[in-house]
Amino acid sequence: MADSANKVAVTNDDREAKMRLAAAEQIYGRGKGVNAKSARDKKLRANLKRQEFKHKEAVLQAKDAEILLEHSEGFLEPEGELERTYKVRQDEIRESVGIETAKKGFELKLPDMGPYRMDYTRNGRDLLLAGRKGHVATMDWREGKLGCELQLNETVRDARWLHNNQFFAVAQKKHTYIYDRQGTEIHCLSKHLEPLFLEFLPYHFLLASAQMSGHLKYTDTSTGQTVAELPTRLGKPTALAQNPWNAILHVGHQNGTVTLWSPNSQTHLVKALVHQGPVRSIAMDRQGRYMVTTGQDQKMNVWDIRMYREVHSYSCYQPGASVAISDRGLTAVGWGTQMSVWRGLFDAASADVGKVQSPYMAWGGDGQHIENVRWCPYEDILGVGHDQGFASIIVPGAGEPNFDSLEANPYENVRQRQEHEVHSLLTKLQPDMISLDPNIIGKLDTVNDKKYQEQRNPDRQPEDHMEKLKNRGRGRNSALRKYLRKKGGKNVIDEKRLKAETLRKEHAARTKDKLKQERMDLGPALSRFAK
Amino acid sequence: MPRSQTQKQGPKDRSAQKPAQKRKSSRSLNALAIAEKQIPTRLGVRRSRLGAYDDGSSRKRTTGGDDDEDDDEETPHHKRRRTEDGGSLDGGSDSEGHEWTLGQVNSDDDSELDSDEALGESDEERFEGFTFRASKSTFKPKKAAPQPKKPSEINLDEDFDESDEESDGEDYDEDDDLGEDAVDLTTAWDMNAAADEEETKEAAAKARRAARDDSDEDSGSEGDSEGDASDDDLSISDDDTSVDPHGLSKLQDFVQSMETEKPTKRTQKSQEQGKPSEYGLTSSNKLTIADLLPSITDSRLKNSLKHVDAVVQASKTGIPGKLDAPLAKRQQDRLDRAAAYEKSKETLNRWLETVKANRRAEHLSFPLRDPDAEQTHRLEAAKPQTDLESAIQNILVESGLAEAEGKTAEDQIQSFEELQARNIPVEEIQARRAELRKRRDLLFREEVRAKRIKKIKSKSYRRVHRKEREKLEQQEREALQAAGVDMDDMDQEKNERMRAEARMGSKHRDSKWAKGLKETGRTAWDEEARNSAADLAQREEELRKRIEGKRVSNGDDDYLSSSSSESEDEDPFNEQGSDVEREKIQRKLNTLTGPVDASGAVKGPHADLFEMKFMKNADAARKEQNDAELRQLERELNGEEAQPDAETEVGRRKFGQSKKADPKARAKQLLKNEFEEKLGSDDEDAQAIESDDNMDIVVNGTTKQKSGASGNKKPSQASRDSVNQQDDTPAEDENPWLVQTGRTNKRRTGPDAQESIDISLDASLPQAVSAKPQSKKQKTKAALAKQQFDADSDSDDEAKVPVLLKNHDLVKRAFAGDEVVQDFEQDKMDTIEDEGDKVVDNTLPGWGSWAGEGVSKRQQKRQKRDITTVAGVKPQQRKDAKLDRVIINQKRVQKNKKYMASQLPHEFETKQQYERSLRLPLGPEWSTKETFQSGTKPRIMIKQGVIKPMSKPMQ
Repeated sequence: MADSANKVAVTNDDREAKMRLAAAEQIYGRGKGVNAKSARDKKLRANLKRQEFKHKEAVLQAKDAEILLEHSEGFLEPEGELERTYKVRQDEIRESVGIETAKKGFELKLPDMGPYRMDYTRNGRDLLLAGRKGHVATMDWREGKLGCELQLNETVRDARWLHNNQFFAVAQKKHTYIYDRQGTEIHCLSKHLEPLFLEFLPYHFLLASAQMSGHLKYTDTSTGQTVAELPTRLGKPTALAQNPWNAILHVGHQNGTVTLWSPNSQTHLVKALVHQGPVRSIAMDRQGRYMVTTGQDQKMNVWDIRMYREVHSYSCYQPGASVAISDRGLTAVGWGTQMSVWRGLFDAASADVGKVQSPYMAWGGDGQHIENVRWCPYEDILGVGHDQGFASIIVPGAGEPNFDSLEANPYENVRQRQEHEVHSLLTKLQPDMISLDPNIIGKLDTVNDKKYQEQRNPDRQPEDHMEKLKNRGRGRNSALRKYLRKKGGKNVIDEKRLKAETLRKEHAARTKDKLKQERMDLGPALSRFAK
Repeated sequence: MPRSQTQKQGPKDRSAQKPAQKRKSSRSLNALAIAEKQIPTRLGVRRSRLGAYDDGSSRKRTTGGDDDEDDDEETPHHKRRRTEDGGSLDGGSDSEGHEWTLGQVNSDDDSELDSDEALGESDEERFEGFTFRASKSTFKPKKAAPQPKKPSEINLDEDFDESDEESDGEDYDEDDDLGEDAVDLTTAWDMNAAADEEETKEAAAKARRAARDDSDEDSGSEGDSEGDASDDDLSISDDDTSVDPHGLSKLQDFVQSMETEKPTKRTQKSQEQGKPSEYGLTSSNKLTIADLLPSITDSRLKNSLKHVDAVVQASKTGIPGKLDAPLAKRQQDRLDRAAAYEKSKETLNRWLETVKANRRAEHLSFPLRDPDAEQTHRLEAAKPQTDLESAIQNILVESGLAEAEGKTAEDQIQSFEELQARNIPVEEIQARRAELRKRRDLLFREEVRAKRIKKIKSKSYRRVHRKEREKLEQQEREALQAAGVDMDDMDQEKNERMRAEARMGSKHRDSKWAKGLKETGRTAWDEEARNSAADLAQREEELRKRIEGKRVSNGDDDYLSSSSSESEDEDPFNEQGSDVEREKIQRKLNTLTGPVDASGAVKGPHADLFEMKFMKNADAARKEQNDAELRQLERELNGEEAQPDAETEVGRRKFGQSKKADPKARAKQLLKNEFEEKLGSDDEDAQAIESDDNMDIVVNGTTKQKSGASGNKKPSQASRDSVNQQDDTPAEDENPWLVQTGRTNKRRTGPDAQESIDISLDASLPQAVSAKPQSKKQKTKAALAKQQFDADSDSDDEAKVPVLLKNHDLVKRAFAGDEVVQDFEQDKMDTIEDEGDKVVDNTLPGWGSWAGEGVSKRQQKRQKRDITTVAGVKPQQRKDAKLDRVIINQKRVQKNKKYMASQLPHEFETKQQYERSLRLPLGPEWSTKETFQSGTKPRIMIKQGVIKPMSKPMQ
């Protein structure tokens, strides 16, 4: 009895450990392990075993380290079945949250300088506003401190922060310019002619712009060199976005296609038809799994960009002007004067449950045409740029609650910022490393390896043509026969031919035998039906 | 002088003192000499030239007889050493035998055999002529305690020997003692030399065999205090298998004629002995066995000589200062080296484990930790130091939780028991102890038995345990699965392999058990066996079918078939889609019921098996069950059929035939309709609802959806939409997008792509039933939400006219000229062509044929075309082969290549192993601090301090 009890206890412990490991693997696991037993070499086997053990340890430790993530996201939860979260208005939220949080929701009325585009820095502290008519301003939005304000007196199409809040790039009428935080013009990127959209790849220090002419240009902002100029050949691009997972740029086009670009290829990597009309806006989620696009055809499509398949399609009343996906997977769509936030678009796709039918939150309808929406990193804040100014909206549960100070620190001071700048420059990735699969680095080049192995193998044997012939073709017109018929003159008797002939003979004999056997089996009466 | 002595006393000595073997040898020597004279031809050839030394007698025979001849014969084709030693090789072992027996006599662990008995009557007769030197002292009385007496005798004897040895030079064979000693020495040398010259195996074996012989002879002649030659001879000849019975009589003859021959012999030998040997044989050094013993390398031999050594040590008569001649330096060095090597190897081997451990260690930190230092860290029992501690200690002691004064509880008990024991009488204590002992003994026995039982692990034992284990595992897996953890992928490979093996193997057929079953006919009476036999047969059939590629129509495997047999051939545009589905189900049911009816006669290889009664019974039971299931299915299906009619009467809208008789669901339906009513014909809502309807259809229709398909086809969806919404949204039919996609874009996944969850038939309706309320709920909720949301957002769109539809119309008109999809398809075709195989025509006109003007068309045609095909990506192998709205570039990005491993790095055997090794990132950004540190810890860390070499191996 005691023994069995003991056993049960052991299995229970065992099971718990297993479950713990499985749970950890689900989140932090890095693929399937290799079977150490398959290795022939003893030393390798030991190494593999050790390595697997390390993997396991790492996974478990990562799981255990979750205890350090002290914040968790919280969503608006309806209390009854009839309550709808999208009916909750901003002022209601502002009333019910803390003062500090309530202060984060605000509106800037800038009715004169046209529709605004905006951008947050990577740590979410600073805000860059760029009005179409040449008004550019930076501010520490939490404290409401204005950084700089410029009146450029020419069309501004887009603006982006560079790696930190010290520099920003503005796509102006003719060229792209880089300003520092005081608003001093530092560079004029004359090669970026008539830029429409800007995008900055933080790990590669690449500033990319989509030009009116349909070209895509990459400039290294750390060295100032132009890295790539890629012709899309699809006319004026209508949207540009980066996939934060693999630094691939997605460009939307007039004909409803989205093309994927890396600076290493002169042709697009992937081209997908996502809309019937021009693409208006593109956004990718942080893990690089899903892409949400809006098009002029009044659709919002959700694509799985691992498989390149559409998973959902939504209709809008008006073409969606802008899409953004938050760190936690909330999708904000600005369409017309409305803005709606969808929750669980991707969870639904991955869990194979029905599509989400109603948005999580809604805002707008007050007559401002929305130009641009963007999520503030590490905050439950959505920035909306429209033709009347800028609005900061509180969307509970949108931001990543736990920041990683090695990645981006919302509370960093000057020294930390400087330190981080140096670090990120040291760990800068080369543009050549950009690929659809970011894990390609260090992987085995199978093509080359195969070649190499073949070369190295001293006793490799040339492929036997006859073997191939022997095993192919079963019918009357077998490959062997065809070979005998077609190849070479009848008078040329060489080894190959002899071999083929013998093979053929064997074959024939075999079939004959088979037939005979069949006849025997069928008996005298039915034997004539054998074939 | 000594020589004369020996001459005088020789025979006496021999007869009296020497043990049997010696005697025998001398006799035989003589005998051989005689025999040589008498019958020279017979013994001309040595019997055991090539080391067949098993027998002392044979050797003896040869020694004497072959002396001259042998030398003559052997010199040409043997080494010099051989010739020098002459018969000594043979004689050596022979003489050794002598020594041996001598030792035996001295040590006196003999005498099972009386000396009287040893010297039988016949012997006495035979040895009449001999005068045994010590016969007076040893002949009659039993050697009860010869120990005190013997040494002197031996001394004497050895003195004789020494003198003999001296005389050795002149005369060899005249005296046995002499011969014996001389031979002994040579043997030793021989062995020595053998060792020196890195003996071939032969020599080693020889020595070993000699040793064995000695021991044999020893045992054979153990009891002999008196040398009894013939007796001994007999015994030895018994040992010797090769000696024929004739030999015995011959030997006896030899023995009889021995004496007469001696003088002649002596003269012969004397000349021979005069030759100086390599080792200074002729020197007058007195050697004893003890002197020779160190040179014996063979351990076995050494062992057997151990007591000899002891005796000789005790009665050391040899000159202490004098040793045998040193070996040649080269040989000595070699020996030394070998010994040194052995020694050093042994010492080094002690380090082996340590070195291995250090080599394999992941991290080493120098200076290495001293193993001794660790032991000092042992904690001693903590003694209370402060008041508080002592108080607590007291309390603990009082309450019995801690031991007092360092004594363990056991000690205390023991002391108490001892105290108690003093009051008890001795007898009782003894009785108790006896009892205790008995108990312990029993316990021990039980333990031993348990051990033995444990050791016996029979097949059945293993089987039982395996089953138990499997059961446990199964339970655990289930528990895990219940907890939502799927461990399957962990050992998926293993499972797959097992399954494959099970399928491949014919274990079920060829197993011993199965065969036994067949032979014994156990199935006739054993229920269990019968069941398992039936099971076996069934499984075999199944496997066979599988191998043949047929599907196995087993109850739980059906889903496979349904998914495969339900092809996509159904008309997606069919308006009566669900009708078709129902028909299909019906058909399927029919087919299912059909076989049931017809299954009365089963044919096949196991027909007789199925004919058995028990099989029939089981069959019947199963049939019944199946029938019930089928009936239920049918009922449900019919209910479904009946329902829509009712639905059409009740509700305003028709939602196809998919509704069910579930009252709850109906209520929900009603609710939904209400909402819809309120909603009007808002298009988005309508679409959402459409999709929901589709979902229902899918759920009910089930089999229509192929499991692998990614989604509904748009056309079918469109058609269904039209079915569902015929009455209220006629405009939807001409939806430009839908129409267009219907024509061109088959893969178009609508909003319901996700909902087209494939549910197979046989999992069937229960599932559907369960799914339904859920979906309904969802639907109503969604509708509600949508409606309200819409109402909220677009207040002006509330009108009955579908604004969005209007918008769509507008959009349609706006993009009328764009043929986006066609363009895209064209683009894709171009890309496929561009990246596919390319045919290059390398034909050179005029090369091998005529060219230019005047060449007829026919001739032009006849010219051989030189065409090469540049391999590209085949259309079906493209990554986007199954994605009709995507073009994926198949060209390799060359710039990425430099960040890839060009070849598999050394050590790794497969790509997976290599890539796995890179999978865990080292950086602090991606892992915890601990992981980072352990990942980047250097292999060797050197701390401050003196790094001393290890003084001794670890452990």
